[in-house]
Amino acid sequence: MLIKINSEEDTTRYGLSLASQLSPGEVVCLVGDLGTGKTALTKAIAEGLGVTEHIVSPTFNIVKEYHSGRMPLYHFDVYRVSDPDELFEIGAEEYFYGEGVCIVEWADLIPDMIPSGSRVIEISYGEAPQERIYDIGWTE
Amino acid sequence: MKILAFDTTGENASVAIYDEEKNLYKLSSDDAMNHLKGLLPMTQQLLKDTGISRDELTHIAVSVGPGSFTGIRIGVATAKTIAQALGIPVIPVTSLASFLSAEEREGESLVCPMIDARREQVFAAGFLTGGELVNEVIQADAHKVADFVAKSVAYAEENSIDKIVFYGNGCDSYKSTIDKAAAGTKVECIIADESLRYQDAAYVATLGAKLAEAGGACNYNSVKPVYLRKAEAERKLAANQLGIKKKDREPQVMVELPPVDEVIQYRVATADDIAAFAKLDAACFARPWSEKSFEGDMTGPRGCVYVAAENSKGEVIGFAGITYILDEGEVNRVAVNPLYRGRGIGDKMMDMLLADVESKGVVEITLEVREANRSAIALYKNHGFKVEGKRNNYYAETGENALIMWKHGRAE
Repeated sequence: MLIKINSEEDTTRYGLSLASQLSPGEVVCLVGDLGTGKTALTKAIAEGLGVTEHIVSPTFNIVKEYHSGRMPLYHFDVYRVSDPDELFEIGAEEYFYGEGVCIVEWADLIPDMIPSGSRVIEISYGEAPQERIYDIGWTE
Repeated sequence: MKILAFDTTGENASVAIYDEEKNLYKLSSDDAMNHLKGLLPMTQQLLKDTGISRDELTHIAVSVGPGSFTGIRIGVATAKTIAQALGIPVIPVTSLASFLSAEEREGESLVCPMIDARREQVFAAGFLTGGELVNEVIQADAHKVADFVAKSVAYAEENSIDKIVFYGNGCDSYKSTIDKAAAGTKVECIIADESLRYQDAAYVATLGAKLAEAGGACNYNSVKPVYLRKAEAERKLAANQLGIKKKDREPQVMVELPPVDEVIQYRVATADDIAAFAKLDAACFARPWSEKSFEGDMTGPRGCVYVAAENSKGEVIGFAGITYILDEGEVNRVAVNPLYRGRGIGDKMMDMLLADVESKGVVEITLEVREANRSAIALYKNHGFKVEGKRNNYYAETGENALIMWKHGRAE
């Protein structure tokens, strides 16, 4: 599915709507260049899950946990992960197959760790500066 | 010799003490959620109950894995720390080998512990036991469960071993695999009794004592976790691209988010809607229904009603279907376009659908729903359905459980 996002407001609406569809144990992969708004979409999904904590980019932490919502939210940014073993040592497998929702930014860098049946949202720039295109799919 | 043993690799952490007189004392956690938090309090409790002081301990035996990632880390770290503090050695025991001490066995048997590693895989090994001798005949590894069970049966057949005993929670998750294999062989495939089937510090302590006597104790620094993760080269071969489904890669029409106040129309569906339903199903579900499935419902021997929700452009953005026979019906599929969720469309479709079949005399209605499908369960509860049963591991591909719900309209 290809969705045209006209503004940050659309990002928020989409994120809130997606949140209502998420079940425990799901993994959402966010793929897209720097600046495409992966963290902005994560904030919207978090809001939809009832998370009250402030969401920050996990680029340096690799993963941040949020427990204030209706189920745990695990927000990953694997951009700096050069070695999948490093991700394993953080317990990524237990997160990905756990009881919360995982949002993984730059998931395309760790394809073999992503569970089958995970959602993928590929974000690209649109024509106008605030426009984005969401290409939604599933992993095999 | 007084050995303090831990096992934290399974669903319930446990602690045991084994002494030179072969007395075995143990405690296990019964709180699945917080079992790891209880490890040290249980240890203190056990020392207190047995009157053994920590200075009397001569070894710490610990299950180093495979099993729960977090469990292994906590068990190994705790054991190493206590060993360092008390100045005593550690006896590392692998969780798979520890099952050798689960019970006494007569004659020769093939002991096959299987710990669920998800994705149809198990951490497993095959041990040939006979008297005092033990041989690891199937190497401990992360195996595909069907392959491992087949290998065990083949080994037993080729070596005239008349029974295989399976242990571990892999027996629960993949019982059907064992049952299938058992049906095709003369080898007796036994699943260990529940009381013996899972990891236990008592096994670690007993096997630990034997290993210590054979020189298997070591300095805490040498103890390493055993995850049995697939080798890196294998993993890299597995995928270098996020395996997105091919159909999601086909060129598609770009849509915009629908206006918040868009008017939705509801009507009864016909066979002409099948193509649209299949397309919508593919957008909603990771494992969608084909057009044939919808045709099967609509043209099959059971009565069938489907309703469709249309947006202002006349596009189908939701559907719900029931098949029925006489007065009993089953809700087969309810889907709402992801962009239209949260607007009460599912609700209105269920209203229409139930009113229709109820007017046709269908009063007992059932359905299956994935246990984790929170929003669907809420939708059905709002329409008078109650959970009446559960089928474990119903959805084969993911091992998810199904909840069985019923709406009873028959006057009691």
